[in-house]
Amino acid sequence: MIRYVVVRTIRALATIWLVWSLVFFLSRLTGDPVKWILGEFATKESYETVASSLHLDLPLWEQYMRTLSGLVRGDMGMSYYHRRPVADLFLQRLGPTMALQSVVIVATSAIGILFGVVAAVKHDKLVDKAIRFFTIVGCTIPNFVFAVLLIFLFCLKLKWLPSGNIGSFRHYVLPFISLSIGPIASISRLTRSAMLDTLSQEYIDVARMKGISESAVIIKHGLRNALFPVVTVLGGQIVTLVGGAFVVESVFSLPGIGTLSVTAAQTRDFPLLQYCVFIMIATFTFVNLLVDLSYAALDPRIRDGEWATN
Amino acid sequence: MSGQPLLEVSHVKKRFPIKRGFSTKSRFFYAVDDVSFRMEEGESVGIIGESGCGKTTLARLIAGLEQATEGEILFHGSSVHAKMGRDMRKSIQMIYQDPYASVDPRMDLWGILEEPLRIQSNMKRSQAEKIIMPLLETMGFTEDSLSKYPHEFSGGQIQRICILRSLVLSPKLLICDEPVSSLDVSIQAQILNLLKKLQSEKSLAYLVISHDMSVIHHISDRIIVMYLGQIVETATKHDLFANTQHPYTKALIAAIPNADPAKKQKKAILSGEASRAAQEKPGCLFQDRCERACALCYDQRPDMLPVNTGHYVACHDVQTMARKDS
Ligand SMILES: Nc1ncnc2c1ncn2[C@@H]1O[C@H](COP(=O)(O)OP(=O)(O)OP(=O)(O)O)[C@@H](O)[C@H]1O
Ligand SMILES: [Mg+2]
Repeated sequence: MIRYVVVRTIRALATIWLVWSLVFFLSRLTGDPVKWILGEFATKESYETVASSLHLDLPLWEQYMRTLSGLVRGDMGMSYYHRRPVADLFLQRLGPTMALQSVVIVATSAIGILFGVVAAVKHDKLVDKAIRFFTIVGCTIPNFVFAVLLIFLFCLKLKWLPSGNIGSFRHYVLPFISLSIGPIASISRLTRSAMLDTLSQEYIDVARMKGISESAVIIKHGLRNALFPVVTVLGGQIVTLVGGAFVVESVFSLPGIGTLSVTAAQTRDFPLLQYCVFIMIATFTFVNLLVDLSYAALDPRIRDGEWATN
Repeated sequence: MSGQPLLEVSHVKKRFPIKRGFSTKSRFFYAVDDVSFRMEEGESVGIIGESGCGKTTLARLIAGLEQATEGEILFHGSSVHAKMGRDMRKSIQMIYQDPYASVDPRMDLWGILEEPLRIQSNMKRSQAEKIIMPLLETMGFTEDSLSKYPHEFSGGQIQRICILRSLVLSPKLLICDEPVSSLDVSIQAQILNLLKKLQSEKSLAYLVISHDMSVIHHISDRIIVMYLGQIVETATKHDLFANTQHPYTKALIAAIPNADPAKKQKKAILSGEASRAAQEKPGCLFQDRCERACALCYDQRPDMLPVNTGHYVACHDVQTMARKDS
């Protein structure tokens, strides 16, 4: 188990470094920030002053080493435009994103798992068919389409809810709905099939023959075994969720990390972009790592290394 | 044979829908088709038949895991169904072909054995230990196995654990669905002997299901032969082997590997396979595979009629011969 933890941690760190480096080089292919800062008609002199103050005149390799050593020391640099530490900017925008994401993650898991269990228990009944229809719709229609439809309906037509910016919780209702439908659909689909699979196992019958009540059979022997694959996918789901947040935050002009990163990319604010990417990648990787480790800790077969844990 | 039987199965049918694409018109076939038999306390009955003839479905009906479409199953005179009480539940236990699939992979051995007792009688740990420990020993396990998980045991060990688990509730009837067919031949004998030993010690009734005549022969007092959801012949073990009647039973017995190497007779080997379509035709279910099928067999479903005390068979050929003799 210890070996497993060490190997997985090293691999997680390597992933973060790789993605971070990729973003470093790719972003620098997309354009020159100095031109963005000074505009089209800057003089050659002012161009050179700005470039050297941002260390953009150094060879690419040297820039990379400087930024990397900054990263290792915990010095993430300043935003090109705001002239403020990137971490400050990031923290400022963290609130709306966190508020939205945490609610979405908790609520979608709970609702998705509930739907999945109900559909599996009521297999082929009307409820199951309704939930299956919902999952097909939810999995095929992208969240920004929901977002646009919802804005159209509730903000423009019915004028029930505001769109754009933050303020009260009402501003979060539509972003929440458009972000949640997809994940709820895919989690419930997954839970449903995992539950159907588990409930058809013989040990479920055995549990019934022991005299255990039906609800205890479903939760204790059914759900707890079906949850393994669901938990793994939940980890991956968070990645798509945050990706979706970029789009949804933009559509609703919610001032969160999503909009911050999009602006950073548009204006070639490399340190800021780099920082946003770093935090997100690090979060994803460690969430996935935690999921894998808890999975291993929960399942005696993996814990004992009987199954290949590559 | 007076008094109340342990188990009485009367005219039980179970049908399943045949799924065919998007067709909305449901069609059905009978996995169990009008089965009746009874079992006495402590008796060991074997059910034999090809794969798909409805043995497992019948077992699940008797265990109350599935609801019969028609007919009635009485256990000690009260009806068996999905919502029967705990008391009745614990009297009928079942062990399965794949022992690994019938234990929760996340439970250690102690959890597996203790759960039934906790559920049934709210037993404390010390009380549960008093029941589990002696059984554990007779099955050849030590105390430190209790903290092990299913994947740490071998197939034979797991099957013994499943038997052990079913015994902690002291059932009256133990249904064994293909109890040894996933095990090595060497371990098969060990498990069968264990089952036999337990039966004599605990006056358990066994309903052993198998497609392997030698397993059934080893463990049963009475044998039921099933074909496509119906019983075609039933007799005591001795009668069934000494005085085989139904052509299907003959074929099953002939298929036992070197049952008697001395007489390498012309083997009645079955050709083709059982087809559900036979249920929709009139006449005997076995007609297409029977060498002796006559006009009557294509016309009329044969009834189960006695050829001897306790020996019943559903075959026109046998029955006309008997009529001629008398
Ligand atoms: N829940 C179900 N829904 C639909 N069909 C089923 C169901 N359970 C069983 N069947 C069908 O009923 C028939 C009898 O199945 P059953 O499992 O009872 O056979 P079996 O005699 O135990 O066979 P085997 O020796 O392969 O275990 C099979 O054709 C099977 O496909
Ligand atoms: Mg079967």
